[in-house]
Amino acid sequence: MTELTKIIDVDLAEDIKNLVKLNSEVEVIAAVKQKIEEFNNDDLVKVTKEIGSLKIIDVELLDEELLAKEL
Amino acid sequence: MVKVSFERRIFCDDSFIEWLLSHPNKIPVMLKLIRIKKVCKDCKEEHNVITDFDYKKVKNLPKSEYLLRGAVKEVPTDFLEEFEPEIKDDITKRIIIALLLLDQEPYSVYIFTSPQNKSKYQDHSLLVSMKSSVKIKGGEEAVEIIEEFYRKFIRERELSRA
Repeated sequence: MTELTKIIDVDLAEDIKNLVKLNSEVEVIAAVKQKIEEFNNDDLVKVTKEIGSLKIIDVELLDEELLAKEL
Repeated sequence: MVKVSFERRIFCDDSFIEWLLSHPNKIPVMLKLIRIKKVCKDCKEEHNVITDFDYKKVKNLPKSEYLLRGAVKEVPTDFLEEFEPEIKDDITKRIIIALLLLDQEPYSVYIFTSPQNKSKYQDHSLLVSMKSSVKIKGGEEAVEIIEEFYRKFIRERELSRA
């Protein structure tokens, strides 16, 4: 059985921005942080997080194009 | 970020999710359902719900489960087994959950189901005397409600930017 190491959520960009800004335990590499900052506050974002830590591995804009691939 | 009060909570059953995922406009409609869940002012993140037993049935229908989780929040029903073990049929269980949802703002709920299952709720004895608190919407009727709620979000977002 494969161990689950990451979880994917949908969040509002504003919430992710606030999480990164206000929680010093959140780990996020500079490139991902930049992507987060470039979102509009009301964008829907696919957020990939590492289980067992507060690490944000990746973010992607959740739009119709992404939904078409993953729905 | 604008937060919106919607007139009713949304409670989906498995047949609605199945119906929606085979709908030609499933992509924009699903995106709107996710949006509604994310921007609701009342019962944050729990505006759109599905029972845990329905969630188990449909969680593998989308290619990615996170999209379903983004659109609807699973609500536990195990207490029904404990306190109402004689209730075996899923329609009755869902109606009881819908009635429990009335305890919180906005104090009324839509049950979204497939066109085929609509009458199973409407004719149910528990809902016969319920005039407006619980409304049943099947298939396209439910999509119209999603569109209406989404338009409300767009209007309020525009107002907040003005």
